[in-house]
Order: sequence, then C-alpha cells, then structure tokens
Amino acid sequence: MICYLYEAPSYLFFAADLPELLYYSHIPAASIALLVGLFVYLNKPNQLKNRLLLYISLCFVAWTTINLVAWTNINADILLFVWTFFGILQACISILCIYFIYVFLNEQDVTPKIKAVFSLLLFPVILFAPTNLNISGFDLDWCDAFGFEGVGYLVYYSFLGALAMVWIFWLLAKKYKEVSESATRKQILLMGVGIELFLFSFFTITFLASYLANLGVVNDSDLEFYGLFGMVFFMVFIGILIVRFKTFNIGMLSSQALVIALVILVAAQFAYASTPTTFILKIVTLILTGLAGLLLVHSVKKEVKQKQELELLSIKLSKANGRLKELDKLKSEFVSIASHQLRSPITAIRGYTSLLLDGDFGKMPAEAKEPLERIEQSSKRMAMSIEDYLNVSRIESGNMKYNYSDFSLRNEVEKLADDMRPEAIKKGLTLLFRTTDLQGQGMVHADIGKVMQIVQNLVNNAIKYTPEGSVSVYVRDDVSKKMVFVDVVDTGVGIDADELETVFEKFERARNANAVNAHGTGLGLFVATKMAKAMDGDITVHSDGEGKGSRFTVSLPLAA
Amino acid sequence: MTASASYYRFVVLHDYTVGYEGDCDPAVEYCYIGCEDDECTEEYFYSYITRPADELRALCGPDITDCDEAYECKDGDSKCSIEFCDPSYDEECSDLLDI
Repeated sequence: MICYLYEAPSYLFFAADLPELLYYSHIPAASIALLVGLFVYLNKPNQLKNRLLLYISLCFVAWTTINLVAWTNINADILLFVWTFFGILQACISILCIYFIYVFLNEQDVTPKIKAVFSLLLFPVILFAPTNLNISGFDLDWCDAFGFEGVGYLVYYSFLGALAMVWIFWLLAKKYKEVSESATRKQILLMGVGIELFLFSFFTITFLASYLANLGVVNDSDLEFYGLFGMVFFMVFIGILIVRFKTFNIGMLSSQALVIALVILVAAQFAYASTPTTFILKIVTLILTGLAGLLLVHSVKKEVKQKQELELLSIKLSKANGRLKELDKLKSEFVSIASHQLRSPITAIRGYTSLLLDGDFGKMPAEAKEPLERIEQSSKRMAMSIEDYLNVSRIESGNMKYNYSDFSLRNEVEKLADDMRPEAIKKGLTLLFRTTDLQGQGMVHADIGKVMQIVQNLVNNAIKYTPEGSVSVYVRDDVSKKMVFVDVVDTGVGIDADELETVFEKFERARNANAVNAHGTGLGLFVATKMAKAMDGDITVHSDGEGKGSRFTVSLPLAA
Repeated sequence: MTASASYYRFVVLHDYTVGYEGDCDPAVEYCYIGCEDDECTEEYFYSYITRPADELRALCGPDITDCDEAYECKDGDSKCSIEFCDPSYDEECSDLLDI
C-alpha cells in the first residue's frame, strides 16, 4: 500500500520537504560509527572487544538506515518489513554494549552462563518480531506504524536499553573501585562516560522526543534526531582511548583521528547542498581536505616512525653503553689485578739485572753485557707500562691519592730537565730549559710526585717523538690567572689537527706515533691529563700539523 | 528466519491492518477534527477507517487515491471498521449541535 499523501523518495531515502537535520544527524553519525568500528576491527580482527565494537557499530548503522527508510519511504509493505527490525536492533545494541563492556574490563570472554542470560533476554525480541505483538498495522495518512506498535514489545526492548545502562554502570563502577592505576581508571571513566552518553541519548532522548511529539506535548519531532549524536560522542571517546591509551591494541596517531573527523564533518555538509553549485563546491572542498589530510598524516607518520626508531636506537645505545661501562670496569679490575701480579717479578728482574751489570755477582763476560742491558731496558719499559695501567685503574676507581704541598715548580722542572738532558743528547737532540721572570716564583700547590710524573711524561714523549732538532721546556706564570705553566715544545713528528682532540683519550695514539716508537701504551697522556685536572690544572696541546712539532702545556694553580 | 518471516508476512501476504482517514459528515456523526496546515487556519472533519491491507489492495490496488470503495465497509465485512469520534473519550470532536 502507498502513502497517498506523500511523494516517493529517490534512491530509497532521499525525499523533499524533510527536515535537513534528518540527514545531518543520521548520515555523519552512521558514517563515523562505521568508520571507527571498521578501523578498530581491521587493525586487530582477532580481538573479541574489537569485533564487538564493530557489531555495535553495524547495528547502529542498520538502525539509522532503516530509520531513514522509515522517514522517507511511502511503501507500507517495505516500511513494515524494515520496521520489524527496530526492536531487534535496539535490543542487540543493548546486549552487545553490556557484552562489550564485560570484555573491555576483563580482557576475556564472558562465561557461558552470562551468554545464556544474554540469549534469553534477546530471544523474545527476535521470536515475536514478525508478529502482531511487535507490529500489526500501518497508518496511510501519517505514513508510519506508531499507532500499531505492540506496547508490551516496545516496553520490553526499551527496558533492555535501561537495563544496559544500569548494568554497564554497575560493571564500570565495580571495576573502577577494584583498580588502583591511574591510567586504567581514566580508561574506565572515558569508556563509561562515552557508552552511557550514547545509550542515554539513543534510548532516552530519541524515544522520549518521538513519544512527546506523538502526544503533541512538543511540536518538533526533530528533537529525536539529537539522540543520534550520542554515538558520535561515544566514537570520539573511543578515539581518545585509542590515541591516548592504545586501547584495542591499536597504535593510532591523533592526526589520523583528526583528519578522519574533519573529512566526515566536511562530508556531512552534503546534507545541506541545496544547489548543484554548492554540491560541486562541497565535493571540491572534500577532495582538497582529504588530500591535505592524507599528506599531513603521511608526514606525521613519517616523523613519528623516525622518532620511534631514534627512541629505539637510544634505548639500544643506552643498554650498550651500560654494558660497555660494565666491561670497562671489569677490564680495569683485571688490569689492576694483573698489573699488581706483574709488578713484583718485574721489580725482581730489574733489581737483579742491575746487580748483574754492576758486577755484584762477579765480573760478567763482555758478551753478556748487551743482553743484560736489553733486559734492563725492556723491564724498565714494562714497569712503566704497568705503572700506567695501575694509574688508570686507580683514576677510574677513584683511588688515586694526592699529597698536596707548596713547592717551586720552576726548580723541580729545571732539575728534571738536567736529569733528562743526557737522554736527549744520546739521541742527538738539544734539551733546553728556559724561564721568565716569575712574579710568583713558580710556586705551586700540588702533589710534587704527580706533577713531576706529568712533566717527565711530556718531556719523555718529546724526546721519543723528535727524530732531530730540539726539545725546549719553559716555565712561566700568569699572576692574574693565578696559574703556573710548563710548556714542552719540540721539533718532532707533530700531530694532525683531527687528532689533537683525541690524544688525551685512553689508548689513543697519534697515527704517526707507531712509526717512531712502537712501545707506547696510549695511556701516558690520559693519566697525565687526569692527574693535572684532579689538581685543578690542565694539559693542552698545540701542533701546526704532521712534521711541524708540537707544544704541550701543563697548567697548575699558583700557591696562595 | 525473522527477516524471511517478516518479508513473507508484509511484502508477500500483505498481512497487516491499514488505517486511514475516511469521510465524515459532522451533521450526522461526531467527527475527528484535522488541520489543513501547520497553523491550523482551516479545519476538516474525518472518520478513521481500518481494514486488512490485502482486502484493500484487492479493492483498490496499492494506491487508494480515487478509489471510492476504500471509504466504505460492506455489510458483513467484520474486519473493516469505520470509527467516529467519541466525545466521552476523545478530546476534540465536532459538535453535532453546532452544525
């Protein structure tokens, strides 16, 4: 039968003279529900709660679709056929919402007993849907079936909506009290507000408005459309849960969610496209918004991916660094133990070699002298290396002791230069000592033994790495800076600019050092600079490059 | 199952009741009062007819426009009824004395 007072719709549910809010409330709400439901489901299809959210969305979409058909269609046969499903869909939404909340809160399926309760509650709605208990007739003038709906059936499925609200509230409140983590509580709160808002608006506002309009209490039946916006709010809350808490085990960017929402809102403007021009303009706007959104999402996604990769690398590096520190500590401990164990026999070797050379055990044959001298030199180098290792170990473990006193650095360095001069001469070098008119008399406050070890190391290096020319040692001071400086300048192999920063690091040696002296450990400068810094001083280096000599400067605080 | 049963009942059998406004002479009967527009500047009077959809379809086809048989019930047709306004029950009925 045809509603003779109305015009037939085009494309199933597009009719003239209908409230524009009808489309604006139905189409965006259904689109958002469908998009969010599908998005959640397709990301993790094996998750039960994701599937349940999709079912809720599909039921809602089906409900809005048949509601649009009911509003616009004029064929009583079709209208009554679709009208049958209002009750079923509403009952399904109620039960699915309860089921969904159960799974959301407990991360597991409900018991068979609860499933049986759900089935029992749904059974009457499904069983009596095609009977007169649900719907018995049709009003051709009003083109609806409100006057022929079975009151008992209507009350029953509306009761399921109320039951869902109470049941869900009880479940959420119970869980909220049980958990203590702030993040979980926030998720429960967001989900609770979202789903209760949806159920309240969908079941209460929609039908209350419709009921009051039928009674003539309110004139505007458009009020029922506002009830559908509850689903939009629910989906917004779901979006917040996904973006902020990765609920449903989905990683989603807020930019993605915003772009989707923007596109839906622009698409919803089609409900108000009254002329072909505005329709075309809205299509262009939608396409441009979509394209800009895609570009934005792509760009943000790329940045987030890079950020995640960097974070991952940083974590890996941090772990590797921790492991390296641990290994370094173990190595220092090993070196310390090994060095202590080596030092005693080396001392004995050096001592007895010296005694043998001095003739304390009788006259040595001439041919034994050279091997003994080699033994003495090698054991001396080995003793120095061991001392370096032990110093590193002491520095790194914080066990290096400093005995401070005031002494004349000038006098000590001059003595050292005199002591080392024969060694330089032996190598064909000149070792010069120079000083300026020292205003502070070159007095420093430091550990004399350590200071002389530093200077000796530098002069020793200068001699070792200078094949020809000279080594000069200068002592100067700067009263304004309250510092005394010792410059050790040579005309040796020099250092490349790119190596100047690393020569003070542990086990670091200049590239050309091995060619001149193969015995270095790469620890001398490391130990020297650590000791100088520990005494509030420093060591700096300058070189014009390879083959152009170098200048090492030790600075120490002037005695007060 | 539900969908099939519903489709069979409503679309194939047309097994439902239809209600629509019928003629009413306020001089003879108490009539329901309807409005021609939203502001109700002009009223009209009507009765309310209910009958099985399949019967009506057999009489008039799917559209009752220009079908006089739709507005009368034949004697002995117990499923067809014409309901007039009842002043003791309905709030707004036409008043016989005023006509």
